Amino acid sequence: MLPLFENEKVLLIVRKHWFVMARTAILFFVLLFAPVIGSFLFPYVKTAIPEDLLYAGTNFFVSLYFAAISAFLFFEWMDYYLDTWIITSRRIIDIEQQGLFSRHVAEIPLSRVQDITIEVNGILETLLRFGTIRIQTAGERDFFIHDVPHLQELKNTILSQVETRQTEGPKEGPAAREYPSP
Amino acid sequence: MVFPVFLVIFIVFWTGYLLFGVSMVYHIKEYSLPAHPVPRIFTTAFAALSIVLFLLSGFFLMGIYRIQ
Repeated sequence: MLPLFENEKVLLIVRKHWFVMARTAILFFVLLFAPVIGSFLFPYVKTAIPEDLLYAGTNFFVSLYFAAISAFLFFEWMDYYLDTWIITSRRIIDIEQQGLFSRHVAEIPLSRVQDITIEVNGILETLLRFGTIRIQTAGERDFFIHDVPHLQELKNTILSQVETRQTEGPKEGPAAREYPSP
Repeated sequence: MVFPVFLVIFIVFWTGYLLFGVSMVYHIKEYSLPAHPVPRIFTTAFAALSIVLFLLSGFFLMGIYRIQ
């Protein structure tokens, strides 16, 4: 669970664009039909293994294979779901899940945000309206948020919050909301 | 003759699968954001599919046992 400061409000919770998960789903369906292609090799291996054992063994391994690829899909979904950016009234938190038992959490206070750049590269990013947000900070390194939807709204939210903090000081924001994928 | 080999594969695979699945569910429960619960449909579907495939592979393993 994410600890928040006193009077800190979550403004936005952003996840990667659904297209990121769709790429995995396409790979999943390709892998799902791989045994059908493999079955065309059956006439060539029949002579080496007794026929009844061949079919029973194949059914056994195919059921394990389906279990493995379903676990792969669930794993990818978990990774997608736990990769999150949280914009609060005080800071930006970048949570990056890197497989199992590996997790990076980085954050920058809004007071250190200097500039925000939107990058949309390629036909897919243009058509599906997602891209990269680069946040330049007063620190050593820039902050990147890749494959996010609603770029302009996200940029505006961060900038308006930065301006609010600069002009009026810390202030409570509206209730948390979650951006759905378009 | 071949049944013990398949049995070892079955036990090793499903033990690893169980540990992997439990780890994923743990991560989702532990790291989900406050006031934003995880959609239960994904974990339920994964658990149901895993049980079906476990039973199915066990059924085919019994088929190999009957053959030998």
